[in-house]
Amino acid sequence: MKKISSILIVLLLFAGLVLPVAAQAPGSALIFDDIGLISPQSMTELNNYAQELSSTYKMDIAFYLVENDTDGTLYQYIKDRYLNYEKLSPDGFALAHDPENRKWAFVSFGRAESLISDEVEDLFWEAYDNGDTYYSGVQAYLESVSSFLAIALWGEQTSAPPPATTTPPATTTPPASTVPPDSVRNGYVFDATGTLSSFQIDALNAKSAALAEKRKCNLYIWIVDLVPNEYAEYPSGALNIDGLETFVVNFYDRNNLGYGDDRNGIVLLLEIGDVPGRRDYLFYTRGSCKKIFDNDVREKLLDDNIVPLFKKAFDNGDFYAVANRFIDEVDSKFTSSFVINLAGKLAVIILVPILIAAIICRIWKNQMKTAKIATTATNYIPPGGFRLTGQSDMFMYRTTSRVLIESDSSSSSGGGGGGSSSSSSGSSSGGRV
Amino acid sequence: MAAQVTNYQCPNCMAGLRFDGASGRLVCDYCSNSFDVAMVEQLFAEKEQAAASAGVDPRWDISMTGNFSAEEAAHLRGYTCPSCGAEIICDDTTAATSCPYCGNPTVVPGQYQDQLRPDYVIPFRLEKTAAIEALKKYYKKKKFLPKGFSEANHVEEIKGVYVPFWLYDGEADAFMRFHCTKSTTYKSGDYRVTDTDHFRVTREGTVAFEKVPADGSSKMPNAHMDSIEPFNYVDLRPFSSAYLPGFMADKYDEDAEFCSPRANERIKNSTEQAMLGTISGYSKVTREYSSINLRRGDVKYALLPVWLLSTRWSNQSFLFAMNGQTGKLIGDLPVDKGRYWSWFFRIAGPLAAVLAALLFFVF
Repeated sequence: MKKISSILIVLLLFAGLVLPVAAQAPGSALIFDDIGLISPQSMTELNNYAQELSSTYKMDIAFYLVENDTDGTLYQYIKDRYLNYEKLSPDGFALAHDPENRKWAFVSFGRAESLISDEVEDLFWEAYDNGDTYYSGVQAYLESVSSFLAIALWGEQTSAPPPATTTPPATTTPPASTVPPDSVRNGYVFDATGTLSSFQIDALNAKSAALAEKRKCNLYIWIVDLVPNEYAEYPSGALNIDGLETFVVNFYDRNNLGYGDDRNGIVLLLEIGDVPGRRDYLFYTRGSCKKIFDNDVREKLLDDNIVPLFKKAFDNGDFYAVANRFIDEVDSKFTSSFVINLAGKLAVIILVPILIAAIICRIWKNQMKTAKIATTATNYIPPGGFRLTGQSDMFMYRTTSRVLIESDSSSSSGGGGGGSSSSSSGSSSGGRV
Repeated sequence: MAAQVTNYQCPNCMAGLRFDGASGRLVCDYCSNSFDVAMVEQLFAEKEQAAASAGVDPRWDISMTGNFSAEEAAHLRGYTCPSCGAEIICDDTTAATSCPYCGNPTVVPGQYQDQLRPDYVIPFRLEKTAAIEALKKYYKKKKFLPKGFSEANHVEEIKGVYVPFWLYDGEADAFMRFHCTKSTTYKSGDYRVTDTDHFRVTREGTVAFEKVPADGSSKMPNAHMDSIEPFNYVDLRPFSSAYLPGFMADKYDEDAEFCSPRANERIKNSTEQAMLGTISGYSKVTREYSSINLRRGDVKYALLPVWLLSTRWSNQSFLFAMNGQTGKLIGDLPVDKGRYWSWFFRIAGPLAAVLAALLFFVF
């Protein structure tokens, strides 16, 4: 009996030393501050935000502020806490910070483990680390998580399929290999902000589906709160078009978006977070769409039609008009491009044969006239008849010219304006308002 | 004291040069180049010499054999074409029945007029049958030839004619100056840099020419005779009327002096080509100065063998000529517009169809 009591005492002491002093009840809390650096009120706000995210994305999103005095690594400690003490969801992840020992760790489980790469872990940490206070750091971490999951898990949340009328009839359904994997299943329009009504999303999805069927090119519209700074900005704070494109391409590739084998597609990314001067937009093209929507076309379409509406939408809230106009303009450009392309083909079909036939007939016609005045008498120079009696090759001077090499691979610009970016996979143009 | 003032010009930009006492060189204020005095003086001297020699223009040495002897003349017959004015001579065993130049079937026998005796003759090597076959073959290859053209003109009426030619011997002394450049392009940082080295290149030499031909018949189109060249002078024989029987001979009506500009021009062009051919290794060659001085030599009178067929089609005359020694045949043929457009669409139509299939169904 004495022995059992001793064991219980040791266990209690162990629990008192190792387990958090301010641990929340398992199952309800996701943000843990063992050190007491965040006020209870802020903890409540952060927990609410984390729980909202966890509910939305069906995985536990946790954060630990701890002082790890155990012999094990912080990673192992948090892993044990997440799974065995708090007993959080087997699908989820947690970021942990030990300010005393200046260490941080990230653990992920189940679905999250396959979703979050090492680079993303770094992004989450940097978002937290850039915060001025522990509270703002955790909030930035959660926002960063929110932006990432909004894109990474897009489709799983937009469960409403397009209206039945927009689904291609069975008889006209293209072969399975060419069916865009997300066209009917998930829709083309994703609004992570809840700005668009379900009716508006359905309407836009219907238009995009019709365009995809007609143009063999999927058109996606993504509306998000905030793209992580690591993607959207240079350290100087200037707009990073390449980074935005990387953000889009990562998601595009991860979800195998696009139409057909070439994965033709167009993406309009709209960032509408409540951060004036940090509202970015990006027009990304992939596959054969690049030929029609080159830099000039993309920038003109944005400047003339989309950006004015985008700016206006921050006053009247009509982001639906922006998306709707974008689909219309893209469709219109496809039409005009088709007409130009058709005219070009007809010109080739008519002019090239005429040119070739004219050249051949000209050669044959010249063969009808073989009498020509001779202009030289080379045949009448006898062997040894040419004698070179003097020659000189004298260097006089050198001239040098320099021409600036035009770069045709890629270009980008930041700041308050816009720019374009090209890569092997796609091209994009964007800006910020 | 009178002094001769020479204004030297910059070899690069032709602006005036001034002597720079500090460097002891001639300096161009316009293009900032400087030159060695001796080099510029040499340049100037060459230029002066060339300019002076360019004015020399001696005449061709036209010292012919002489006229036909009385015995030879006794066996010659003269004919005149009332249509084109051609004067034809034959030996007394050959009868001229039509004009070889214009095809006029009525030639008028006339009194043989004494004339210059040719120095040389190249005898016909190819027979009339070979000429007929060559002409038929020539017709066959022509896609735009009007249907029936070859049947309508009687190829068997082809005639062997000795055409009068002047053969010019001479030499050309040439001095030429070129501005040549060599360019090298390389990348330096963000720039594509092109270095261009400029050279002054001179060539001086002599080119000999032997027996440059020019026909002396005004009825014979020059282009026809130029085009059936060259004749092989290995067969060139001292003239004998023994080569005339069975053929007609045209009497020259353009003398050697009249025809010499054609030969001069050809000699000059070939001399320039020969000089230019010695320049290599440059990316660009621009001729700046050329002085060709012809040293004219002998001119000989020769009769060269030509098979001729003159015919008419749709009120147009067509003349075909074949080198009677080498068989080279030339002549302008009529173009059937119907056949032209027929072939045009036969080429363009299928091409358009193939292109349409490719553009609409493949790409």
